[in-house]
Amino acid sequence: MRIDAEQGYADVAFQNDLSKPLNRQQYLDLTREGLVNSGRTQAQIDLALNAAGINSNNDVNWRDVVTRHGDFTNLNFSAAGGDPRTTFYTSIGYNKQQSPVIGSDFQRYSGSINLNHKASEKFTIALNIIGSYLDQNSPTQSGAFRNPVLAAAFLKPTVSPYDSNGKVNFSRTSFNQVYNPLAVVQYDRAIFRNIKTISTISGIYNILPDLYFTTKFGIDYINIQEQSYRNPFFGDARTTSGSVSNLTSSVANWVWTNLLDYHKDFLKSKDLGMDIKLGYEAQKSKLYNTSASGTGVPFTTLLKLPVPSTPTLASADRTDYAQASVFSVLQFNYKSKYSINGSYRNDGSSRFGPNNRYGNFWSVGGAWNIDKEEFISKATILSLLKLRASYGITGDNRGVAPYDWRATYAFGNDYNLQPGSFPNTVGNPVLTWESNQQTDVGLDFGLFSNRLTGTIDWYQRKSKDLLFDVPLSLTSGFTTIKSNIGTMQNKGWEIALNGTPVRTRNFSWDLGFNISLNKNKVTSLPNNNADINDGNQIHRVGKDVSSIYTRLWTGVDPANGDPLWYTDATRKTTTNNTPSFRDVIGHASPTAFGSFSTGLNFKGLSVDAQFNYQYGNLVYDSWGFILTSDGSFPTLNKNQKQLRRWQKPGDITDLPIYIYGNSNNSTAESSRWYYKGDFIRLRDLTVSYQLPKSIMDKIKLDNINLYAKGTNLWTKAFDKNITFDPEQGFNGTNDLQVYIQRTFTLGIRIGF
Amino acid sequence: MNIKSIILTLFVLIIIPSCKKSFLDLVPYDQVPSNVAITDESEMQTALNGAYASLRTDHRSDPNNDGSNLFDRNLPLLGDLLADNVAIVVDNSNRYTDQFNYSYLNTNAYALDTWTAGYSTILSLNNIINADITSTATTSQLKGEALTLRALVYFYLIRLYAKPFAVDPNAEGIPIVLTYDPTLKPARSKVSEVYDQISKDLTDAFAMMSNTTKNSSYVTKYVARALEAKVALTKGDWANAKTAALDVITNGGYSLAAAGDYVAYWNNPTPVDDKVETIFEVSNDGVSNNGNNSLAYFYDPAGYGDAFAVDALVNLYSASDVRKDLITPGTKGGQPINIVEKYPNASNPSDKDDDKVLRYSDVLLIFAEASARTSDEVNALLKLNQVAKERDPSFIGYVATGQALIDDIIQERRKELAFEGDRYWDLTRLKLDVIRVNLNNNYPSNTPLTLPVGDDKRIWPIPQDEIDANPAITQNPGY
Repeated sequence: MRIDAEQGYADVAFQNDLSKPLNRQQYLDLTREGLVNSGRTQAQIDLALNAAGINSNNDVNWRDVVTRHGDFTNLNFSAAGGDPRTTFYTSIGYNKQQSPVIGSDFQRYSGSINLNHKASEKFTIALNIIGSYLDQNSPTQSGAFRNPVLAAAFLKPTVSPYDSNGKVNFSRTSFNQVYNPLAVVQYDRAIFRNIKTISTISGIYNILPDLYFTTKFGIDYINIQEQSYRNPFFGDARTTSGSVSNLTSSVANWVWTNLLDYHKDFLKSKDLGMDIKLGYEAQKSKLYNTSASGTGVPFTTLLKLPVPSTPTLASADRTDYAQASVFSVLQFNYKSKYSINGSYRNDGSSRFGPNNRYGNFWSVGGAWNIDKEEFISKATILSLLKLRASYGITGDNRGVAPYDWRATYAFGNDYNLQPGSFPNTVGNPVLTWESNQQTDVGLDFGLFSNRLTGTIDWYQRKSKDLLFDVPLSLTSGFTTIKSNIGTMQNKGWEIALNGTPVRTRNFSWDLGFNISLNKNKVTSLPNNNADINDGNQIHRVGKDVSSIYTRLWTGVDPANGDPLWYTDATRKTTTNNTPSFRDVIGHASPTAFGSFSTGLNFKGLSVDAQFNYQYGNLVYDSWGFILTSDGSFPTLNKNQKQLRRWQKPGDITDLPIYIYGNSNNSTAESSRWYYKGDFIRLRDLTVSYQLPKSIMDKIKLDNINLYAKGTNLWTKAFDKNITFDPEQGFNGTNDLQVYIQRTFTLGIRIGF
Repeated sequence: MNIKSIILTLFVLIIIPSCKKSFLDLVPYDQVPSNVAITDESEMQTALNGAYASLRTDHRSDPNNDGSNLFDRNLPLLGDLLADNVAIVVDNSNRYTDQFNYSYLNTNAYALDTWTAGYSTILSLNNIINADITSTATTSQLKGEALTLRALVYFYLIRLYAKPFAVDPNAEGIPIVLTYDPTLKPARSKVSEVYDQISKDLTDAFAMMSNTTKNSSYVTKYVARALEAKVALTKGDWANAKTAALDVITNGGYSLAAAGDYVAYWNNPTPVDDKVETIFEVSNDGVSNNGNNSLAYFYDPAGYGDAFAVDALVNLYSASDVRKDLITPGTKGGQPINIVEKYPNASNPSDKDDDKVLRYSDVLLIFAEASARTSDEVNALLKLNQVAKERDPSFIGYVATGQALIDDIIQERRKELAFEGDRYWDLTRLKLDVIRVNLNNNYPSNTPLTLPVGDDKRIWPIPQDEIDANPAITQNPGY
């Protein structure tokens, strides 16, 4: 049995000075300067400053308003046991978290049971059930006026969250665009509930001594309930006198796998062995949604989830997908020195049309355990040496929605409360699997009795029939078509090294390092390799598939503070008249990423640290055009970086002149909004203490481990101009998400 | 191997895979294949409802993108904002400031959204027009409605994205897409070719529709005729403008609202059956509407309240003019403004303002102008005064002749159709500079006060996304 308990504290992982919002004085001074620069009269300046809040005494840091000390608690209990025929494992857990951003918290309960029962000599049955329940309040993200992270950055410091009576203020005069995040948290509800069970039952039947049949049936069931209430006083639902909506969504997904596994030894010595696996797998997923919403709620603040008077939506929809596969593996082993294997599979997916549904994929590989050779095993320094190689073709249908291949009409574009249909998807009857031809060569080695181990892999992956949303001429009535286009290549190295430089009876020191280096390039595209644009990215032959394609920002004219861009590919002439010329400036995928770690252990006390790093990618600030707007969007607050603006002839700076109501397009899409995504982050630092065995014996427990852990305690961003956390998601875009957290945790683990 | 094992093995290897084919053939529950979406009258009506609705909101655009609508904000707003009728308040929500300042680029979101929504509405309409089903009175009525709407959308797109017909009919227009082919990368047709297509659609539509009565949120015969008059006026084709307008006046059955009912007319958010004032409007109701992204919300001081009527316009109305009752003085962020009250239902939870596309007074003034330009000043004055005197009961009537009469008509159009998106297109077809008269600092000092004829910004950019996806298309000068 085991008990784990953790209690922690969370705040925001990365905030540098440039990303802070302006304070009252800074905002008003900048606004005044912008008004003067725009050539307004004194009367107009006074009017605009009045609207900016010069007559109020408020000096509010909205980031402080929306952030708080978050905390979390994790409790877990598990037990395992059984007898020779039946074993079990069971656990229950509880997690509670309050995020550092207001209005964001969750509670989660979970439990699991594993049962294994040997019914007879030939038949074993296993049952595995995992269940969880999640209850979450989460703020709206991205550009919504109700997003607290957006409010923290956009709201003027001269507006107070409270009125003169000390109540939370939601007057539309004070908050005519972005809502007061405190009022949103107080009056609105956004509840998300997730109930999930994953059950698997499996049986293994030993048909012959060397022939096994395994069947495994799993069902995942997810039930999602979302309830939202928007108040009638202010905000998104004011004009409908409030709104309430409910969404219930259930996903049932079953997978049935059947496998025959046959082993054959050809020689008496068992030096030459063969394994054959033959299997079949079927999977089906069914999604069922019901939604209901209504408007018109009582004008009272007493109700948390009122009943709406006018139903506006009641609908149900379903989405299914299925996949069926047959697969086989053949493997030969000789003396544990040499092994070769081959595999073949045929996958069918409902996501593709009838003629393109199936993909055939295969692989061959081999491994040579060189250390087992006599000439090597004598060399004592080498404890492990293995050479691996494989070649094969795999398929991919990720990113293809269940009915993407079909051209359909959908409904819901209603007019005068009469049903209306519209062309919904363009469809692509020839849509099929993307295939990847991968070559992999790897070496595993261990030296000095595995005090130093390592893995080095080289790979090359040539992909064809890439699945992309290809832009269409908008005159077609559609924007993109999901297609198989072009080819690309990924090549790279993956290296991992682990060593123990010091190991004594009571003390050890471990070091670890790994790196993944990848180079991607598009190798061919349809229509004579014509470029394909994808938002701010471009797919161009010879370049990384995630290449950023945008205007080339060169900075600011010291003479007059104008924004400047390059006019053409020679990158010599600049212009202050926003050009249409764009070029590739880098890519969103990193050149390399990985981690390094170190651990010290002295008797029961250990200190472990892990640093993550990434470099070579660009990250995009999708909101810089407002937060450092050079004077457009003047009624929204700016960040500290804006203070670096050009002020007088001769100023050398990277931010243009601040003009109130600026219309010089200095904030147009350009390389200005891209930063280097390079960072090193102390992902994890743990100090733990394992109580000595002598004490354990006395208190009759197996072990007690006490630890203190910190995550994301330290971050180094290599771009000194960046205004947000350089660790962004897959698409590398800062979209005013809930901040990445820094946490401090104390925990105890008891085994008995 | 015993019998049990053999059966088990066979079961695995044969029986399960045999059900594969239908297992993977999954059909969507709430969508129908496009090729069988319009096979009878009622399906055609459903598709047409969808097309009407997409004049309000385009379902295929990003729902978070607040520029993805045509007649419920972009088109009626810009017709005034790009001209000299409305200005943006100092304390604004930062919408349409590029349009207000004439600083839009090839990547402008409103230019992209209008293009995208326009052509996706055209696709909806093309599929109705081309639907291969047995022709009945109902299907030809519905196809006639679709043809009229297609002409309407092309009429807006050609004026936004290409040189005015009056300036150069042979200039590059916009692609004419009449059939569905997603792989097509069409080049731009000539301006005159686009207008020819518009005229053809309207003529066909008029012939196909019967004399059914439908409320003002649907197209009828005389909607097509009224639009024909407006298109002809835009081309400077006075004779046809006059003929078409006269047909609407004589046979359409429309009337002006009495002065005393005028404010009530604008307060009403519901389509009408009485043929008073409205010839065609896009309906918004309590359930289907654009909420915060509607035209009404943009003018409503309790909404964004970003746009207001400039003093230079307000001063044109006499004190007894009922139209002045729809412009009330107020303030926004301390700034004195004239609040536009033509769309007062933004906060009405049960119904929302409809978007007026064609009104009877517009047709009367088209007739007046076309008459004046074809030396029929008597009839010109008659219709001009019919509008002017109905709006201002104390007004004694216009009496001018020659160019002065035409100027009176243009000014009356400005007063009558203010905030309905008409003004900019008058200035465009008449090859007039936009001159914003800046009274009481309505315009901030860095907002341009003129936009001369021939300035590149008079025409919108072809969206960069179109240029990127379609190598056959060319960009407008200056972008």
